[in-house]
Amino acid sequence: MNAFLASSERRAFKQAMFAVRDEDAALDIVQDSMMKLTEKYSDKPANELPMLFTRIVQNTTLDFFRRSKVRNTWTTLLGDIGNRDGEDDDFDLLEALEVESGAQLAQSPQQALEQEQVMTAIEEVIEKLPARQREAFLLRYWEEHDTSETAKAMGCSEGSVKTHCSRAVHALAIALKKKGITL
Amino acid sequence: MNTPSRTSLTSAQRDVLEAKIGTAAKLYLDARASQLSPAVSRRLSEGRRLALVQMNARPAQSTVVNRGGTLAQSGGFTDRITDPTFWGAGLLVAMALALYGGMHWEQNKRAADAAEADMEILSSDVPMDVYFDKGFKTWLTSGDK
Repeated sequence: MNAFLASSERRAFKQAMFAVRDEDAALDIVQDSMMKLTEKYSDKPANELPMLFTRIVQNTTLDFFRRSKVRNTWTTLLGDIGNRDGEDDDFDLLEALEVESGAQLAQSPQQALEQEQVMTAIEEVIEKLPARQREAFLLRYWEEHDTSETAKAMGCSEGSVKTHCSRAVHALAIALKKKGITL
Repeated sequence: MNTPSRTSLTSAQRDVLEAKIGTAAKLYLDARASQLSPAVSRRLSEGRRLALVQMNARPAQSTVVNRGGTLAQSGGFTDRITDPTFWGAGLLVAMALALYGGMHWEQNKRAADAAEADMEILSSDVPMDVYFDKGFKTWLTSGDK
């Protein structure tokens, strides 16, 4: 359990940060989630912990929104409007990105600087994504859940997950291309 | 500007490309997550420590061995008396019992009243047929007794 939490807590914190955009609130969410996991599910097999923890973090984040009644309606709305831009609909992934066999992390100061810029750009895009797209993208690609697991966690169909992920990846690709960044 | 056609990608190719972009993004997200400030890292570690303390404390107080060698839960009572669900369930049970008791008492009272009325009628000197005689009721209320 310790190893699992140690490997998951930072990612959980960042995901909570993307959602609530408040460091203290995100830390509270992660701590509450860890307490709930160890309180109720400590006897579960290790392979079930990632999905359980993901759902607990999601529910705790929702609880936070319910309590504070601070729904990020405007961000979601603006994000949706942005994604309905006609120009973006015609966008082709190949135009923006030339994904190599594996993105390389920094080896030199110059690369470190470029990596920092890419990380910042990616975070900015993810922050601006509509909540459902962000949730699908992070579950699918960052937490590496498959489409079926992501659909269960989000309470939607696998088709919806694919659509959300596709739109999120396109938004990411467009934003990075505008900044002249290739992954 | 020479741009590839949108139709140049099949659905499967697009899926692969999206997955590659997602995987590349994961690498950067992981790198970013490893760069948290010391204060945030400390709070996360502390939160994890508290969660583990809670987890390790529970089995010691929750399982005891009875005289017969069977395992039983203990330490649950103190948990339960502070649990609103426990009190809510208790209140519901008490209300159900009170309702059942009230209905049972009311039913018994009606039966007793009916039995008493029957007894009075049967033990009265007035013959039973008189009660079905319309003239008898008129005679009772007219005052010409």
